[in-house]
Amino acid sequence: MKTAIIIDRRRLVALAATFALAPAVSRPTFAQAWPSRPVRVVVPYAPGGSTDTVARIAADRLSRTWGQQVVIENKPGAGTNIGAAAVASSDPDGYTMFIGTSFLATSRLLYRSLPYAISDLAPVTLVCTFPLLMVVPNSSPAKSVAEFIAFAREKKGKVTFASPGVGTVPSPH
Amino acid sequence: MVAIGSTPEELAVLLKAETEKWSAVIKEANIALD
Repeated sequence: MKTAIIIDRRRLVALAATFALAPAVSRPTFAQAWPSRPVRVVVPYAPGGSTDTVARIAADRLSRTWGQQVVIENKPGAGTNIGAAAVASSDPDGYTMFIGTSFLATSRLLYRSLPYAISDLAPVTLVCTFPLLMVVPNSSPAKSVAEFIAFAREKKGKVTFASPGVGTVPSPH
Repeated sequence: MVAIGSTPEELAVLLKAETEKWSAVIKEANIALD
């Protein structure tokens, strides 16, 4: 799974440059320009999940680098669409960001309509990757993916699947 | 977990590739969430 920082497209140029140049430019230079107040990072999932954890680690490092608070705001629901819409409709001032997953790339394929246009958001940086796991009960006769596929075909309509919730990366994938 | 940085352009390419990759799967499996 991939986690990425996305921002309102109207701020792409300014923030992309900031992310790329921040380590090489002295803090006072940036402190005078951006950020001069706390930055809000919207997480479209509930606290405690993998994306939230990554966001909090990143926020801590960014706070120290920028000399400004980076505040996590959890906006779960509607398959990440509530959080993404909140960022897409935020003021284009560079103080609202979104940290999400590659689900952002597929949400418009899964929902008939979205409360935001994907073109309202612009990529900033890929943050990290981490594995997704598929497990079965010990009692399952399937001990490999191939065996599981064969098992599911044999028991068509009778095999259940659990994920962290609708809109999470494991859900449609 | 593996920490990775990228340019905005690299992330845009990745998101486009992810969309294309999963688009075929979603259409074939007729998956919808609403």
